[in-house]
Amino acid sequence: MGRFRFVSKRLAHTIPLLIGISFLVFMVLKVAPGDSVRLLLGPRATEEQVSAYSREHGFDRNIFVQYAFYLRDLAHGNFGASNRSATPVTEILAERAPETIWVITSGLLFTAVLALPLGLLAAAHRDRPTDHLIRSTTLVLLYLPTFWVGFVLIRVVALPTGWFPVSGFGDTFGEHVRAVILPGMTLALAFTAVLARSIRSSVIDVLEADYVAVARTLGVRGMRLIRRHVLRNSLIPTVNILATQIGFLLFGVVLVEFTFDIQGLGTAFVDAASRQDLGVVQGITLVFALAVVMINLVADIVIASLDPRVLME
Amino acid sequence: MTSDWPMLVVDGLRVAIARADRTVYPVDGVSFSVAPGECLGIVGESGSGKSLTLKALAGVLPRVASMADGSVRLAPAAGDEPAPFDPTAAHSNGVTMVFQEPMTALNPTMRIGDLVAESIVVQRGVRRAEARRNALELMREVGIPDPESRAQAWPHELSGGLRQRVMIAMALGGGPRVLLCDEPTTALDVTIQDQILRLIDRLRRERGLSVVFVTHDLAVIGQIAQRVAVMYAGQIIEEGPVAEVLTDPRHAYTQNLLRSIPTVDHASRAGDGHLVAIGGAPPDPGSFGFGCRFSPRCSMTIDACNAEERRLVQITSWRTTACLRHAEVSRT
Amino acid sequence: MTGAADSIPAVLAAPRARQRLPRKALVGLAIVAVYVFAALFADVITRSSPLDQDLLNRLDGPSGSHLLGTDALGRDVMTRLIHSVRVDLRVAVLATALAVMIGSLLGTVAGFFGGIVDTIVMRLADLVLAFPVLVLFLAVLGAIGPGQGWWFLGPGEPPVIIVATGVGWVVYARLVRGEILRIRQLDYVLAARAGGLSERRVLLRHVLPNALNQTIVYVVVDVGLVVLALASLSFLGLGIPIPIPEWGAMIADGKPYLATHWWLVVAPGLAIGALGIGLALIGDSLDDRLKGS
Repeated sequence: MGRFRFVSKRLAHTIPLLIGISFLVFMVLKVAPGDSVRLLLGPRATEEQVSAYSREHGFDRNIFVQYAFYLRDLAHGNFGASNRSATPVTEILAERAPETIWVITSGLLFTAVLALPLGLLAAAHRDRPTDHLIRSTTLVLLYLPTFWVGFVLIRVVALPTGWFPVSGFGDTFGEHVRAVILPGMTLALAFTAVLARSIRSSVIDVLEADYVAVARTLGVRGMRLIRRHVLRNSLIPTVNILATQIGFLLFGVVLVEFTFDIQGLGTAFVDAASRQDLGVVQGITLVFALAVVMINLVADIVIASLDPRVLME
Repeated sequence: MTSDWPMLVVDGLRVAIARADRTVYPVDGVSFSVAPGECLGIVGESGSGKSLTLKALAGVLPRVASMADGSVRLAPAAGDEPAPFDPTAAHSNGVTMVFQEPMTALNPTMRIGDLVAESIVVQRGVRRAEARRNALELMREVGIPDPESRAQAWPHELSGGLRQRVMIAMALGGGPRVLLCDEPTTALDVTIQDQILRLIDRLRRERGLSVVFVTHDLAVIGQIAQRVAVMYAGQIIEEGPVAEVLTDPRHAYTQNLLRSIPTVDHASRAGDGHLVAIGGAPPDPGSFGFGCRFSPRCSMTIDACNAEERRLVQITSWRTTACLRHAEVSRT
Repeated sequence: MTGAADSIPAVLAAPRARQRLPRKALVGLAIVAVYVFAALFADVITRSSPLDQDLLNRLDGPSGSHLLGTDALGRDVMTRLIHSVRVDLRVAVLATALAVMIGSLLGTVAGFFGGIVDTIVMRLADLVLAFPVLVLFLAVLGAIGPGQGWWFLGPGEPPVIIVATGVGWVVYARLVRGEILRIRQLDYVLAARAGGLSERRVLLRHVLPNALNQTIVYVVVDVGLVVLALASLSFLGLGIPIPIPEWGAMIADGKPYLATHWWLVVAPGLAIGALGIGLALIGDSLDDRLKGS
């Protein structure tokens, strides 16, 4: 099967998923106790507004009609609004997303810098002291809560040195960078714990594989061996693992935002959930879920380009 | 007649495996030699150490294993005197190996053509374009139909037999003098097995290769090898020309091996129609006994068999055996 | 997976299984035992209730009567730390147990019947996994709120258990299904079936032990992860509501005093981490045992 067919197949597979997700998100509203419309519009909505909304969205008819209206709203870019401030979700997204993206980027950069070398090192020095050290450190990191690590960093680094802001995001580019360093590191420490172990594991598996032994008998050594035989084959399971950890990453982002008082999407989401601001909850849930699906799709495509066996169905 | 120098000489090879509590030697003092253009078969059950022997010679022992003792000598060219040879050193085109499982032995992320060309590039230092042309030639030589289009294929798209041919082509890329074969046909079905055996035999004759062919299957040995060494519990216990050893074994173990081959006619060796298996199992390297290691399972064993360590003795100018009672071993 | 290392039969490379437990497992068991003890005997070993406030003695440092000092409302930190074990363990064990049961059931059904049943279960799994856990949880929470607890569950616990189960089952379902599919193809199973053994019998005898082994390894680690999740959620203010003691919530409470009373944050964090590590050590040694066998 060619690449194109593969991608189309995956896309086609994604559509039902998206539909399922949108339906589930829609159902969140229906499951909530209380009058759905009131929950969406807030306590200050007038009777007129409530009945007008109900009519427009088919609340007097069956659930599938309502779902259809919901989809129509989505198609028009209307992701709902806050029931407190009536701010449209899209506006909230636009305002808060950049900060979250900064944090994620910082986190990913630190992760790449940490996880790859550590994983490779551990695999290369398998069962020797370096390996044991790396394995135990990552084990510990795995179970220490992300936000706790963040606090430790604040207490131990930010407070004494004053180099990094303890909270907030800053106004200038420079301030942004300084503000996301500690959050990024915090995020990275947690993520690295998972990733470094899986990189180590896949590299070891590859190193023990027959085809590596074959290559060695043919005289393939050093960088050539790594580049052509080890790298690609170890990346495949690693990308797989990465894709499954997206949820973990998002959770981490939310925790980090809370720890460092960054007003990103994460804090907005948690806020809305604790206030039962369903419009915002629905909107951001949808965006997050969509992001995850898209990232998984990209991951699948990356794997397909790395691993020719995938294309064979 | 060319000179009498062998191509490959292995002397007292011992492979050590480090276990948690101690070291064991699954290959324990193996010696043999192979002449240019000759195929030596090494036959034995699983656990006899035959695979590890090959891996030691190819320099690809598993992490937990190492070559503890012994020397290996390889002749720089057919007819020359063998010189000391380090299997683990970066070497070019002297000794290559064909592995057992073609499915896992080919890098799934590389195309066939690249795989074959790689060995040529690495071992002969040829540039990629020329290597590719050589690769196609090689693929033709090993009987891969339509090499041009096959070169673009991925390993998983090929059948087992074709993959094994690719493996052989890869092994020949650098023009080796010795080809080690680790049960290359065990994973294939019988008709393909025959083809591959014929291929290896042809290549041996055409290129004057020395082949060391390891298998547990006596029938295969009969088809491909000129001389055979029987291996048990890390040691070679009998050696000689194939035809002679298979028809006139001189070790109790070899005799048992031959008896346990099922035949079409109902009158089996044991005379009562039952499949004769050798009772028990080969010993674990951690518990090799003193003296003859086969004696616990041997029907002909006597006390003297364990009185001292068994060594190979010359019984004719071209046959050796380690069996004390070799004169009483018979085919039936 | 065949590799160069597999050319040695397992007996050569692995030591004979020792009867004594390896050090790793002992350490893990010791740690977890401490927690279990704390959970069972919390009332006995602590002198006061975790809810007792003593506003005259707020934010005291560690002392004889308060091993870890008092928090912002004068409550004894150590007591709260110990009582928190109950909440966390209860939620984690329950959620994991439910996930295992539901997951194994669905996995068995999917693997055994195959066809459309299999497709449905797998699609369901995909759908569940498409939602990041937090998102799912917040959505659920946003809809139904923390709740007042139910039967022996405390306030705030049901949504966490629901979501943890709702996400956790997938692993076990995949595991069991995978085992069934794998065993089905093995030659000796085909031979057995050709010989007349019912498929159900064969699958039971061969799938069960292996799946059970792997499940146990996952379970042990899962419990630790649920504890982590619960603590994180409580930290965000979405899990166990105040004033019930919970490690994550305690960390959030201690946040404003990080500069001066850092132990208010550090202690609960260590409590979480230690439990997780203890469980992981046990899981690791179980895994080693499995691989060795």
